[in-house]
Amino acid sequence: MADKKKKNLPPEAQTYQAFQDQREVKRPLLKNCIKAFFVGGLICVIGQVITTFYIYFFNFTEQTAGSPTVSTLIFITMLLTGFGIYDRIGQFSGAGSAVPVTGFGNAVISSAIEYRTEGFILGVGSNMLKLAGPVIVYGVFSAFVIALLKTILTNWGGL
Amino acid sequence: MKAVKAILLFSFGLLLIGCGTDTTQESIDNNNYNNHIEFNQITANKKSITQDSANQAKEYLSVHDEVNTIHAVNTSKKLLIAIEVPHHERFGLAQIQKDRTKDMEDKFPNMEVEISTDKKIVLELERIEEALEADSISKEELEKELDKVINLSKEQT
Repeated sequence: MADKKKKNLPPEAQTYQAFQDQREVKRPLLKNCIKAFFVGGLICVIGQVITTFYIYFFNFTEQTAGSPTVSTLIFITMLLTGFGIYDRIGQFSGAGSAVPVTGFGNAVISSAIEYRTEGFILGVGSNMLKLAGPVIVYGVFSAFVIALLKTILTNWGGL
Repeated sequence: MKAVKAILLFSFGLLLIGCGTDTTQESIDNNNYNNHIEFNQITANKKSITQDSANQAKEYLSVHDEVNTIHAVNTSKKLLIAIEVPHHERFGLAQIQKDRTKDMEDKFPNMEVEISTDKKIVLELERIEEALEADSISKEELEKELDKVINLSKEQT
């Protein structure tokens, strides 16, 4: 709870807050960071292996191998989400499995599975991007801002 | 909490130090770095086009520190060079490619020069070089193969 709101609380509530703060289980922040780092890194290593595989055995360059790699990773995520394995990975590693593209795939696929009961159009179609929508909105917006800054810096900033 | 912050700050500091270039080590390496550059001179054969321009290009490029491996193949009008750069130099990949392309264009004004740092192009040129060495590729086949690889190197999506 925000500190400003805490000051406006009645005394009993403030006492309870202090009691709760003492008893609350502390989050193992460093442990979580380490877990996220290694699992996220492992996902990226798998991605790199897939990219290398496409470069060696198909007609893809480093530049063009990105798209099939992402597709393959999302396909693997789809299977893992369907079998309920990705949820466990997410539970264990937190941001490590949410930040790479597989996390985004999981957000879309799990929503699609969840709303399947409401039909394909109003269920899956309407709710599939409920979780992933903000990611797309802010991703596109951030990319726009960065592109604008880069254009300004390269054209008029002399970079 | 303070300990966690301190550890995170310390790790970040280490990361920054790790990413910095070690100039003293680099200057020591520079003296014998060029011995590590891998390239094969392709001997001219009867069936195909002589690879003199490609061999010259390899020699010119082998003096640069930011190159690990060089592969090059030429036809009568085109010269395609693929270079591998050390991993820590990959941040400046675009600049390296731009500088070396300019160098080679100055050295070979009568040829269409293409330089690529892509692993796929390195593999493809290695394959063509082996075929040239084994004398198993004709002039027409070489031109066709090289055009295909040049198109591949220009693909964006």
